[in-house]
Parts: sequence; structure tokens; C-alpha cells
Amino acid sequence: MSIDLEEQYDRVYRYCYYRLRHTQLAEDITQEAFLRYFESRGIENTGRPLAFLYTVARNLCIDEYRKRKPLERSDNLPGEDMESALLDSVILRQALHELTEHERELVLLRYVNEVPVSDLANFYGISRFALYRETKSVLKKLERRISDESENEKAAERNI
Amino acid sequence: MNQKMRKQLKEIYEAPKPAGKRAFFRKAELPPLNIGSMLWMQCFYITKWEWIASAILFGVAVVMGNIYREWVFCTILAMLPFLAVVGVSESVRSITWGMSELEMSARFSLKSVVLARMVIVGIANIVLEMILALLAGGNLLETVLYLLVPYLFTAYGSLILVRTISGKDGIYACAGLGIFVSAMMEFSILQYSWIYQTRYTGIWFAVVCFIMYLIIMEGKQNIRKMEELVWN
Repeated sequence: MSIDLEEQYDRVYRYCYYRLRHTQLAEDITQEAFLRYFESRGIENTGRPLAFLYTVARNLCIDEYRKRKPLERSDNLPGEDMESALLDSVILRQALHELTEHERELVLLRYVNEVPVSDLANFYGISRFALYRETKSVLKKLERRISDESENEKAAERNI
Repeated sequence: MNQKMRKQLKEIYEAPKPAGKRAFFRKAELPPLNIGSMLWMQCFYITKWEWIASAILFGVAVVMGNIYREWVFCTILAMLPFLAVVGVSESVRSITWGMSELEMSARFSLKSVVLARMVIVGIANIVLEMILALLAGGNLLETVLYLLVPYLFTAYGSLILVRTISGKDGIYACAGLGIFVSAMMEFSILQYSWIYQTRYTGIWFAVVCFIMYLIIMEGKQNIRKMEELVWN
């Protein structure tokens, strides 16, 4: 399986940026992950080049945490400061905050970066079925939070 | 997950634009692609019109062959030159549309792209021919040889035409050649039907081999012409 390198560059960069919240570091790690990918000839033929790229990127991000322990890292999601966020988007943001770090990462990889299930299962070292169950439970959690938030908003509007 | 939520998630996780992407890919030594991946990748760059045109020609051959049962072989034979024209015009699309110089500076050399496209289109057409040969009935080997001659001859002629006549005129010339070969094949069935006999199978085989040789030589000429373009 061959991958569109330039498209995957943006996605891996987004993943690193989400983990580090630092543009330059995220880009450095993305490039390092790609260089290692280029060096490891034959990965294309294993059929799991995406899992390889994300695993390298994750390990490099973890190394970076260790090196710079007190790295300023807010719990805010990227782009949260933007005023342009719509109400629905705000509710979704709040719902995402309720999730654990791992669950947020899963949402990012599966639904934003659109990593195929087989690659993602390989990345987490679990079966496709286990991944399916986990994804389903995260989605349920997210939808429940969104509906709760929406109802609260409506109740608040009624009170006004 | 619904589309709206997906869109919102993408907005939420929007990251600033990576600044060094272009510079990185310019400098990085990209790993070479293996032949299988290269062919697979090129499959998606072949226009849908090529597949649609091939499917239409195949469909017409099958339907007409079914309607005029006694003329099934004749109909199939008449359709094959057009299949070759469609295939060649797709393979050399970048040359026809004057994009060859630009494509030579791309990641994959134009030569390999043209060769890959020729292989893909060629394999697809050969598969269609095999199916048509089965539909036509009779001795399979003989039928395949009879069908290959007009197909390969048109492909060879078309390659010469697109090399010598530039732009869209080359494609019109190929279409003209397709019509001419198609008419010639019909004429041969009507006037010289004796050539389609088992005792001449050896000659048909020799003709197929000879045209294949000519196609290879013409393919080399085309590639040499591309190399000249680089020097220019």
C-alpha cells in the first residue's frame, strides 16, 4: 500500500501539534518521523506504513515530554482562543474536554486524521474488534455529553 | 458519526499551517516505489472516459454480436481498432495536450508514467479481447490471433501518428486510422474470408509477432523523443 506523503505529512503534523501544542516542535517531529519512514525501506510492503509513521511520531512526542518536563502545555484544544467558534462547536469542545486524553487522541486519529481501522488497531496494539468497541463507547460518551449540554443551553434560554 | 460533527471536529483540531513542508519534500530523498505500487497508483490517474469508452466498445461488441449471431466475429473485429485508439490516446495524454515538459519535472519521470499507463491499458484491453474471443467462439488461439492483428496494428499506427502529429490532430488521425483498419477488416472478411483458416494460423502468429516487434521499436522511438525534449 502506498500513501500520499504530502497529505499524511499534514495529518501527522496535526497529531504532533495536538500532543505538543508547539508548531516548531510538532513540525520537527513530523519531519523526523518521515525521515525514519524513508530510511526504513520495505515498510511500504508490510501494508502498515501509517501505523509506523504514527508510532514513530508518538514515541518522539513522548521523548520530547521527557526532555522538557516543564514544557508549557495547556489542556486547551488547538484553536480554542478563536472567536469564530460557533455555538455547536463550543458544545462539542466542552464535550471533548470531558473525555480522557487517550479518548481525545482516538477521536483525532479516527475521525479527524481518518486513519483506517486496521492501521489504528496496529498503532494501539489491539484487535480491530476491541478498537471498534472503544470507538463506539467514546462516541456514545461524546453524544451523551452533547445532548446534555444542548438541553442545558435550551433550559438556560427558557429561564431568560 | 455524522458529517456535521466530523466537520466541527476538523475545525476544532485545526492546526497552524506547517511552514517547512515544501522545503522538506524538496530536500528529502523519497523512497523509490516498487513496480506494483507504481502501476496501482497510475490506475487512478487514467481518466474515467478511457474506462467508459472501453466499456461502451465492449458492450456494443457484445450486444451487436448477440443480435447478429452469424456476424459476431465480424462485429468484434470491427470494434477492436477503436479500443486500441482509445488506449493509445490515454497512454500519451500528456504528450497530446502539451504537458510532457511539465510532467518531466514531476516526481515520477514521464517515461515511467507513460510506460505504466501503456501496461495498464494494454492489460485491460487484452483481458477484454480474451472475453470477446470467448464470445466469438471457434478455436480460442486462432480467434485471439485474428483479434490481435487489427488491435496491434492500430496501436502501432497510432503510436507513430501521435509521435509525428502534435496536439489533438494526432488523436483525430488515430481515430481516422481506427476507422480505416476497422473497414479493412470487414472488407477482408467479405472478400478474402479464406485467410481466416486454420492452415494460415502460423502466418497470423508471425504477423502478430512482427507487429509486436514494431510496437516495441516504436515505443523506444517515443521514449527517445522524450529524452530529446529534456536536452532541448
